[in-house]
Amino acid sequence: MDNQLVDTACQPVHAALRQGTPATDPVVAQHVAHCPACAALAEGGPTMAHGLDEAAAAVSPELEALLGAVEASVERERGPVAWLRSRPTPVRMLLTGVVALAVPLLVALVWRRVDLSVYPLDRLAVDLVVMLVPAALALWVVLRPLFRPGLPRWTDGAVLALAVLGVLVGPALTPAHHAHPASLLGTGDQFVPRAVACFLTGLVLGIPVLLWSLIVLRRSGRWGLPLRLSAVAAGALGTVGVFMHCPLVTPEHLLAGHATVLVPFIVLGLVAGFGFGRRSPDSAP
Amino acid sequence: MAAFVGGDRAAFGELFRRYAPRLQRLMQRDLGRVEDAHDLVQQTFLQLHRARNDFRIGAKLRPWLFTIALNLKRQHFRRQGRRPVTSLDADDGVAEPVAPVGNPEARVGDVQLRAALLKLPEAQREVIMLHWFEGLTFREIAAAVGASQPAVKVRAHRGYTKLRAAMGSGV
Repeated sequence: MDNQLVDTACQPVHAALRQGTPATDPVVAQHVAHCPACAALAEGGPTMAHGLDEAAAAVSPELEALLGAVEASVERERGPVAWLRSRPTPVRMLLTGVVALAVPLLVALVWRRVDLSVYPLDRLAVDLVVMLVPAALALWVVLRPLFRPGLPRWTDGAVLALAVLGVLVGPALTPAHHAHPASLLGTGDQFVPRAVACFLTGLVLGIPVLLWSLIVLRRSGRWGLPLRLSAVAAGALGTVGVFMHCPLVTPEHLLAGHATVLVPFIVLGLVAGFGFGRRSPDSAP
Repeated sequence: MAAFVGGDRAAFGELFRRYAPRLQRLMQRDLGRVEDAHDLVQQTFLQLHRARNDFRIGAKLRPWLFTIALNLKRQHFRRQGRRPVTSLDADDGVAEPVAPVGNPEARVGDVQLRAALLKLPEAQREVIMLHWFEGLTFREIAAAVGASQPAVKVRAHRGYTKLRAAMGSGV
C-alpha cells in the first residue's frame, strides 16, 4: 500500500476509534497493519480516543466576536502599502530586488568611484559578492511568506554573521590597488573626516532599502525578526553604496568608514525589534 | 477560497467560521491563555488575507492555513523566549478544561492523557494535533510542518506510543 492510500484511510479509522470500535475490527486492523501511527493509537483503545478528544474540548466560544476584530483588521488593509503587501511573493521579491540594487547602481552611474577603471575586476567581484549575498539572503528571509514551512531558528543569526563577515572581507584583504592617487588619501589628519563622511553616506544610502523592506513585508503583528533582518540588509547595501562611491582602499579606512555602516543598522534592528516585539497594532484587543 | 481571492468579502467570514475553531484549538493547546490564542488566530487570518494573491486556485487551503498558524505559533514562542507551556492556574485567563464525564477511571485517564500531551516534544504534539484532531493526511502534515512524510509518521507513532504509555503508567 503506498503512502497516499494510507493517508486517506486514516480519517475513517479515527472515526471508528472514536466510536469505540476495537483494534481487532477488520477495517481498523487492515489499516493499522500499514500505519504504525494509527497502530499506536488503536492500541490505546477507546479510552485513548476519548481522552484525546477531551484534551481538545476546551475551546473559547468567543470566536464570533473575534471575527469582528479580524474583519476590522482586514478593513484597515487599504491603500498603496496594503496593495504592495498583498502582491504575490515573487512580485514583492522582484520589486525589492530592484529597489535594493537601485541604490548601488545609481551611485555607480552618477557618483561612482574615480578609481573604477584601475580597480582589479576579480577583486571588485569578490568585494561586491561578499556584501550583496548576505543582503539578498536577509531580504529573502524577511519576504518569505508564512505559508511556507518555517526556517530553522539559527537562520537569522547566520545571515547576520555572514553580513558582518562580508563587510570585514575588504579591510581584511590587502589593498586592491595603489594605482590611483585618490585611493591613497584618507590618512593622517584626513582619516577621521573621510571615515565619518563615508559612514554617514552609507547610513543615508541604506535607509531607503530599510524603509522599502518594511513597507512590503507582511509582518505578523510584531516587527522583531523582520526588522532585524531588514536592517541587516539595509546596512549591507549601504556599505555597497558607499563602496561604489569611495575610492579609498586602505584597510583602516574601509574598517572605520565602510564596515561600521552595518553597526547602527544592527543596533537599530536589535533595539527596535526588541521594543516592537512586545506591542502590536494588529493584535487582538 | 477562490471566492475570497476573487474579492468576495463574505467568503472571508465563511472561511473564518469554518477554520477558526480548529485554529483556536490548535493554538490554545500550546499557548494556554485564551487571549494569546485569539491573537494568533487573528494574525493567521490577517496573514491569509495579505497572502491571498499567492494562493493557487485549486490548491488545498487547509494545509496552507495551518502552516501559517504553526509559523505564527513558533514566532510567538520565539518572542517569548520559551517553549510551549500551559498554565495550571485557572485565574489567569487559561481556558477551563471541560470535565470529562463518565466513569472515574476514564476521567483519571483523560487527565493523565492531557498532561502527557502537554509534555510531548513540540514536534510530536504538533503532528498529533494535525493528524488526530484536524484530520490532515500525512502528506498535508508534512507540507505544513516542513518535514518529510516518513518523518511526520515517525513523530506521530512516537507521540501516540508515549501517550499510550502515559495512560498506562499514570504519567
